This record gives sequence, C-alpha cells and structure tokens, in this order.
Amino acid sequence: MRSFRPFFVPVLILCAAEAGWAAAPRYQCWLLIDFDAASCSLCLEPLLAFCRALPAAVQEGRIMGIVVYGAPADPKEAGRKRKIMEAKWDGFQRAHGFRFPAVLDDGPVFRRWLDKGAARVLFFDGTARAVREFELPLPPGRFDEMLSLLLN
Amino acid sequence: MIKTRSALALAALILTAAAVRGAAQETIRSVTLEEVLSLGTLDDAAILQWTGVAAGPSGEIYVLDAMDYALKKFDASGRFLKKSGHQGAGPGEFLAPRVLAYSAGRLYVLDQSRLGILVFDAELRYKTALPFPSMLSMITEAGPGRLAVSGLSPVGQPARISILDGEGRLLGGFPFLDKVDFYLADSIAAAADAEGNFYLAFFFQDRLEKRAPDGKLLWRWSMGGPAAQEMDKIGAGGNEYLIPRKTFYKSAALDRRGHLLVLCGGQTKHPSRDVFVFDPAGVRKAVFMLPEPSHGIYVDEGGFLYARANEGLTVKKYRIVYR
Repeated sequence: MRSFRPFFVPVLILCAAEAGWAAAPRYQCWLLIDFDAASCSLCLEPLLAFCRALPAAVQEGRIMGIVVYGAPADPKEAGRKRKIMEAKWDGFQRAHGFRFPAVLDDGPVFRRWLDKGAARVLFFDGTARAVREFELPLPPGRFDEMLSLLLN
Repeated sequence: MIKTRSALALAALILTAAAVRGAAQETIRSVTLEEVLSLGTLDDAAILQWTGVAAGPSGEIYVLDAMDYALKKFDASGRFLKKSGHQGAGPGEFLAPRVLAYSAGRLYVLDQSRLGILVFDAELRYKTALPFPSMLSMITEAGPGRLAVSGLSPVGQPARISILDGEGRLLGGFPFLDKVDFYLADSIAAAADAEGNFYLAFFFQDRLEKRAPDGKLLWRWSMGGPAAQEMDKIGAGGNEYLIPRKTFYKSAALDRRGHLLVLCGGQTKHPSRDVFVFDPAGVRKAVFMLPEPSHGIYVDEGGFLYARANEGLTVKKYRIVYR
C-alpha cells in the first residue's frame, strides 16, 4: 500500500470540510473517478453500479467523490470545462438517483492513481493513513467488507 | 389519392436528381454554419452524453444519451418532451447505446453491449429487438423503411454491408472489404443517397468510398499523407488486443443538395471539427469547421446539420450556408 500521509493529511482535512464531515468517523472513503473516461460504457457501468449500491448513510457522511478530469491550458477554456464537468456530474447523479459530496480535480496527483482504471476506492483511517485501495469493479465480497468498515 | 402521392413522389425524385446534378456542377467558395437551435444546457443537464441524434418529419428531434441510458424526444422548438429507457438488458433498456437511425416512423438503436437492433416507435415506445447474428457498429437509413448495417469482422475475414427491411429481414448486401487487415479496420460511418448508392467513411483508414447499390466501387478518395496505422496494445493476461491509434474519419452525412459531408478525426488541422464537403462525383468542394469538436454529424431532411457541443451535454442544430 502506498503511503498517502504527507500529502493527503491537509487535502483530506480540506475535502472533509468541503464534504461537511463535522466529526471524523473511524474510516473515510474516497471514490476517485476518471470522468473523462465516462464516455466509455465499460468504465461507466461498474461506477454506476457502485454508486447506486451505496446506502444513504454512506452517501451522507462517509464517502467523497474526487472527480478527476483533464483541463485545457487556456484559462478561459479551463473554466468552461469545469462548468461542463460540474453539469455532467450533477446530471449523472440526478439521473441515477444517488448523491454524495464530491470535488472536481484537474490536477495530476489523483490522475496518477487512475492509470490502471477509471475508478478506485481509497480508505483512510482517522489519522489519514490509507488502509485499503480497491479498483472498480469490486471483486465479490469486497463491497460488503467496505460497508462494514464504513458503517461499524 | 394514390395518383397524387405518385405525382408527389415523382416530383420529389426529379427535384432531388436536379439538386444532385446541381451539387456536381456548383462552385462553393465558403461554407458557414448558422445556429438555429440548441438542446441541453449546462444548467438543465437535459442531456448528459449524447451519442446519436435523428430528426422526424415534423422537425422533432430524438437524442440517444449514453450516460443517461435513455432515448429522448424534443419538439421542433427544442422543448424536452419525454424519455425512454434505463440501464439494463431488458426490453427497451440499454447497456451502451451508441448509434441511432430514424426511418419511416421508427427509431433504430445499436447498443455496443447488446446483439441486434432495438426498435422504438416515434413516441419512444419500445417495439422489438431485430435479431442479427453479429454485433453491429453502423446503421443508417437506406430508403424509407430500409436499413443498411455493418458490424465488426474478425481479422482476415471479409466485411459486409447488409440491407434489411424495417422488420429485420435481409434484403441484400455486399462486401466492402475483402479482408479485414487489423482489428477495427472495418469500422465505418455510412450514408445512402436516394438512388441507393452508399458513401463509406472509414474510421481507422484514410479511405472514403462511394459504392453502387450492388457494392461496385464508384470512387475512392483519401487525404494523403502518412496513412500507416499505428497500433496500441490494450488488455492483459492473454486478452490483449492491438487497436488502431489514428482516427481518420468519424462520420458521414448527405445534405439534400447531394453533397457528402465527412467529419474528420485526428489527422487534420482541427481534430473532430473539420468537415470535408464532396460532390457526388467525389470531388472535394470545400472544408468548413464545426464550432466545437464533435464525435459525429447528422443532416436531417430539411438540410440542417446537427453536431455536438459542451462535450456531449448539448446538441446544436445549424443551417448550412453555401456561398
């Protein structure tokens, strides 16, 4: 397991604040999504299945999406691209009946974790130590294990 | 009544033939697009990622939305009317909806992950799935109630276009490649004219063709330059494929004057935006640029062009102005 701590402690705090996590739960979960790959149906399908299966209790306070996309160099175009990604992510959630906090990210850091797949799930403990890392689609049994970590 | 219809059909045929002759003779100095309608905005998210578009005889617009797993209907003024479909493999459901065609009051959908052709009526009611033995990647109207389809063939095998009636019965067809040289070499977009000729645009080869209804090659065109295809390896653990990297052409459509419009891929100055305009004899008459990159173009019976904007959130409808 890679060590995320030096970089992720401040990022985790910022993201948790943005997500409205008041009291730190025992475990937190990030869902990294390569949203540029969402036009690939084979990539979209496991992501959608995962999001739909999340119980309300997880969506409301235990998971956060990091929606990763590539931004153009031109600042004006970059702003437009961000609006497009926001609209797509919001519409995607609305169309498929799920909603959890998410941040958009056009930087290279999270992009690196997505070199092997379009979506990954990362688990952090209360000290921002990464304790689990899964690629979607999850193997059998992993989803239940994940829920157990988040809800107990 | 029948005589009136016949007379109207004859008049339409004569007008079409005259327009096509006109297209062959005319000089085009420039082509511009005037936006007349826009469907889907950054605020309403009425469309998430459209893959196919088609227009009905009253100007109604049908949009296939891959990220919403739905077929959507808008009226001629762009007002959203209804949608149909969900994610799934049941009747009227979609797994990876990719291509849409309209013919004689019916909508035909190709789903990348489902065999056959899904059929809906003009009110988006699911009717049936027309069986087809292999996965299809292209469908286009080839006259009222007639469809031309093609799929992806294994390397080394010939590639064919099949002509079906609206019930899926095989009416004919022809091979357009004697042998598929590499995976996806037979990926094409196609358009059929009123005389039953076919225009083929190859996604991964520098090749445009016009073929007679019996498949005979009438002309072939290429933009030139390095045509060799570079391949990328994807997959792992024995399931490895070589897939082509370069996209030459992405889409083909005919306007009502008989011009062939071809959307180019990544090998021109403005990737996914440059559109070549050909006359029916295969002479390139003009090039114009879409305002934004698009995965495809569609031209309706009124001659209006549809293309993508906002990375799939928006369908733009344009009037094509030839000067």
